[in-house]
Amino acid sequence: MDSTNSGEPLLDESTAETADRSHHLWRYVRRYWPVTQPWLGTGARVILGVVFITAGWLKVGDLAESGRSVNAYEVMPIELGRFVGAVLPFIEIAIGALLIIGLSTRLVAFLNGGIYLIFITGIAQAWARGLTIDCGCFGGGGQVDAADTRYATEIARDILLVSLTAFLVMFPHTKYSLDARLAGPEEIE
Amino acid sequence: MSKRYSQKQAAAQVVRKQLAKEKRRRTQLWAALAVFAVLLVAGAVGVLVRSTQQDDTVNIPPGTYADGVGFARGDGPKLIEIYSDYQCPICRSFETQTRDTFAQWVATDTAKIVFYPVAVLDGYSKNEYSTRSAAAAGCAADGGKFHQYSYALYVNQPAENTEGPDNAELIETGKTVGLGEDFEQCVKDGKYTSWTQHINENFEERKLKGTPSVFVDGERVEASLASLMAAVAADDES
Repeated sequence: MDSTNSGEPLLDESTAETADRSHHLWRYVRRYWPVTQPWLGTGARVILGVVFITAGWLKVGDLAESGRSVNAYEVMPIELGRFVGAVLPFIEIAIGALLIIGLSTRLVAFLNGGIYLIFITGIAQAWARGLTIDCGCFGGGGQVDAADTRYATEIARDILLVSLTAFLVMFPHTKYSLDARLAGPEEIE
Repeated sequence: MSKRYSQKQAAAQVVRKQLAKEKRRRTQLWAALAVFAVLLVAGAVGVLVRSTQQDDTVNIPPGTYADGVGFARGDGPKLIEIYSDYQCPICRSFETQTRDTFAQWVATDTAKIVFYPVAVLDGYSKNEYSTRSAAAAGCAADGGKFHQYSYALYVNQPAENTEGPDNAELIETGKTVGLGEDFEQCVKDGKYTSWTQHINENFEERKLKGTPSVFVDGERVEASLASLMAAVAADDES
């Protein structure tokens, strides 16, 4: 027992060292945050924008199918589902385009996040009720084999995207945005 | 003197800052309004595009059953309804599995069998085979060969997510069941494309999501020969 005791300070030292190193890293991140954050924000805008434009674009060719995939969730009257199916793809494209140009980034990111939360709720309720549908996120949709449902993956992907929208809501100032151009040089305070 | 000057300057700076802030706020407000305007326009475009994608007039082939959405065989007391897509592999195996039994039920007047050729799987075809094949089946009905052609379509079913038979090949398949030039013209004109939308709407209104969907006397049953036989037998007892 006594002999092993001698090893303890050594262990402490090494943990202290890693703590110190992570502290260093954190300081490093903080120091460069004003530089990195706007670029990370631009990255988030591009990812979210491309995902939404793609998702919308793949649905516009067959809006009847889009309506059917909305109705597959069984959450609203059929006529309303058809309406949502027709409108949603274009809203997705518009939001995607607004994110990419960077107009009202905070507001648009907020709306985008809200839509994702609706999607997540829709998928989760379908899962909980034992429906076997494809989310129809990128066209397609409707019923699939029970073995072919991918609810967990779909929800995980949407949560990941929601976190990007949250990042933009928290830090809406990004590089290459229309917002920055409109604000002009007075932005620097 | 100089103190007063610098005070004045400081005040001016505050005012300038305030004005800049005000201006930025106004820009933000306009940007937000622009965002909502864009979204409103996008929604309106969706409604408009949807109406252009819908055909105003629906051509319905002759000899259809129930509001022009299906084709019936047999005249038995049992009503069997099948919603099926020519692009759907399970529908194909269901079709081949039940073919002989259905023929028997039709011959013995056991059941009336209604077949609804929905076209909901264009997303699983590279050339909208789902819609084109169903529309061609409508053309086959013009020539009085709906069921024969329907079966021929299942025999020649393409794999999912591939380029299915084109219209020329659909016409060739028609010739194998004895369909002629009228059929050819009908397929080329896409005469019954609007009809497939009509069937799809019925499919949606019955809250169906996938194919095959099978009903016996209005009750949903599993799409298998065994469950159909059980449902038909259950009726005999009652």
